Amino acid sequence: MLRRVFLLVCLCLCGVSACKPRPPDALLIFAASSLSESMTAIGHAFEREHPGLEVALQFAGSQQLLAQVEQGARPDVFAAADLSYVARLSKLGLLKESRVFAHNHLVLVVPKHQTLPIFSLQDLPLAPRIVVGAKEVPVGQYTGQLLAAADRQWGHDFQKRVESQIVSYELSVRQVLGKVLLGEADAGFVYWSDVHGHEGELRVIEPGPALNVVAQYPLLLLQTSTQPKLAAAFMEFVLSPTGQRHLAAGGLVPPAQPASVRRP
Amino acid sequence: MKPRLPLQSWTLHGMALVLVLMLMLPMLALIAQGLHGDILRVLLAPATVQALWLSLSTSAVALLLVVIFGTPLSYLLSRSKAPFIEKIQTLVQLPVVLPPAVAGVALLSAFGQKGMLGPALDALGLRIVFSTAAIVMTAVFVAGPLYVQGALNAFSSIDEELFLVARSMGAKSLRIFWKVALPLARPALVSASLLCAARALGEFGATLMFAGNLPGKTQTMPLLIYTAMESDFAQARTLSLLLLVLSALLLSVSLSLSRKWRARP
Repeated sequence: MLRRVFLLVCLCLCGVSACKPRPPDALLIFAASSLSESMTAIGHAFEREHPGLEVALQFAGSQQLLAQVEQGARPDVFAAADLSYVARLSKLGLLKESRVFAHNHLVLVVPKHQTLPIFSLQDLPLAPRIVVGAKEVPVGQYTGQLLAAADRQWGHDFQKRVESQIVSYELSVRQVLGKVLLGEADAGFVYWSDVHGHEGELRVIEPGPALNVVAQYPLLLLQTSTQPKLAAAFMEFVLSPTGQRHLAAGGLVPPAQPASVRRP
Repeated sequence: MKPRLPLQSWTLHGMALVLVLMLMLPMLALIAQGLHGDILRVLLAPATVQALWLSLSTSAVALLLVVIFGTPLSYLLSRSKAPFIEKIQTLVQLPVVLPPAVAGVALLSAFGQKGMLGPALDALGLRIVFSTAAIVMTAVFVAGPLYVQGALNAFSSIDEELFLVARSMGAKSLRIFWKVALPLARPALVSASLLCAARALGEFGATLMFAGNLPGKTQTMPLLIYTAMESDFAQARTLSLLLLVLSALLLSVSLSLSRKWRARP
């Protein structure tokens, strides 16, 4: 009996410790999975400048992170992979301020030892197994825009011919990359920043500026942040030369002018 | 009847209630929130019908394969007196408890392009990944052991004397399997196969990794739910409700059959 009560108490303690509140000196940052490496580095650098402060980072697809916010998660800052999240967060009444902090663009990747003669975007219909992001996630939307632009330029049902060769609609850009790296897919569209660290395994094909869409990454400061000053300082830090250097190391391009997108 | 102390009874009921709440609340919430005005539109949408058909047909094919090959396997495992037979029984049932991610990686390692059999399959012109066959293979891998487990228990619980009598009357082993073991175990085999079908129907993680996500070809119901979650949570809830009802049906028939079988004279 005693042992049972002891076990029950242990269980309760586990439950309580799982939901203990964050320490006061902590920032919770949600960031799109394409930012994993660079945001981790920025988080560490920011911690060094603010001794005692803890930067907790959570990475997932932007869409999943937004879903978590909808279900009640309250990060201080949300770094999303698509500008549409500015409006979506503001619709929830949670947006305080937003700034574009990085650009990214799509590239076509092909396994390096691929025998198919794919050297430009126009060769893409030669690939029998193409993997792209689902239209429900940002990378899939950009891919759709890119293919539509190519179709307008080249005609001959380019988009249709490509789409008929698509074998999977993945739900995150890292899964698209994984399928290409595994050699399961003959080609896939990923962000330029995702190629970093895999240059040896991939043939990277630039679609060219005429067709490409620029993905704009907004930093979103939440209305509900318990540390609005620190959160704003973190956003400044991301836009500072140090922050931009870390982002560049992760393959992201600094915005030409750090345009401020204010809440409508 | 044993005397019961009120305190003990209270403790037991209290502890039981904790788990009952944990198990029932999510399902009740799904039912409460999944039932909304748009339910028919979601259920009759072409994408839903397509995914449901794909789920049902691939699960059926997987089940058929599992029953055809798993029944002799379970029978042999139950009858064998070979050394290490218990270890072999454990190994055969292992996939059912593997984390889905592990199952996915394992299947890719075996049948992927850079996997063990990839080059050989490629030489034969076979690409498994991203094909409908990959869904069936995943289902066999993760759900097959459930059937083997049930069938093994069924065959093991047949009275040994019946086999002895059959043998003394001159029956050969295939005949004993066909005429003695199979009829006696049949209800338990049906019960196990329904359980296996339910597991196959719900398979998600390994399928996503091994078969990909293409509507009409590899997008099964669980994958459609996951995709819907990215854009329309209400749709995901309604689709989940549909799978919940299907699973409940399969499980209740399976359990009632196995109860009947255990209560047999």
